[in-house]
Amino acid sequence: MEKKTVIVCCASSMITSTMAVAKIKEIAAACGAPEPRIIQCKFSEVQGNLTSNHVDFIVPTGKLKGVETGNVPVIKGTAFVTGVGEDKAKAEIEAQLKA
Amino acid sequence: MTLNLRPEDILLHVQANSCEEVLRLVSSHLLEEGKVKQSYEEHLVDREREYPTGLALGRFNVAIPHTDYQYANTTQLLVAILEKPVEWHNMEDSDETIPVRAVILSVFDKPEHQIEALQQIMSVLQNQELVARIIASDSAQQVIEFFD
Repeated sequence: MEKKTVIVCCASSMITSTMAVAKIKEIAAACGAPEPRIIQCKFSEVQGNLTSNHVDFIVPTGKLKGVETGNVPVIKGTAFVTGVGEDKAKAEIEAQLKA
Repeated sequence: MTLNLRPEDILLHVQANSCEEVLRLVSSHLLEEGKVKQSYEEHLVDREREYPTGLALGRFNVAIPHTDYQYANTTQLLVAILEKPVEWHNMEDSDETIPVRAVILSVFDKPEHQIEALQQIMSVLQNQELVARIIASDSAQQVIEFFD
């Protein structure tokens, strides 16, 4: 499995994205995938980070608006804040980490 | 770290018709107590407009509004239980609204306090049974105990 690069993003105060980052690292450790390189940023910085990095997938903790993500998969990370639908989000992230 | 909840900032039976009305009401409550700066209210309302904080948790939805640390003088929570549900924009999809009965406002004056506080709040809120009991509380002390 190759090491992935993930953008984890939220509104502005870096709070909900930090919760998601912790979960993604946990998921990687639990499924034996290499810990991904994580680019943590604000929604407003996603477009720039997509341009300057090779990104495997994006985990926003809210709706990404006005961002051209092309064919980079987007996995909703709100579940890591609310706990609702967390198993599904975990499975999606595990699949991306192992891809 | 324990969550800082104070009886004077547990507001029960709050009457409001909109999310903005709730935010203005709680801001002026905190301003009167000297816990936030004058500019807190506008920043809180603006941030909510741009990045909504309604959380669809199931039967009882909750909102967790907050803004940056520069506008507050303290680190604590304010809890507002609404008399009737208020439509709130969903964090996951801001085009959608969900009815909210409880508002947990996280006030903080140092950014490093915020993440741990939110994790603790969420561990309470992920338990719908507990949320139901918080909403039905008839005293501030009861609400505080549920967060313990």
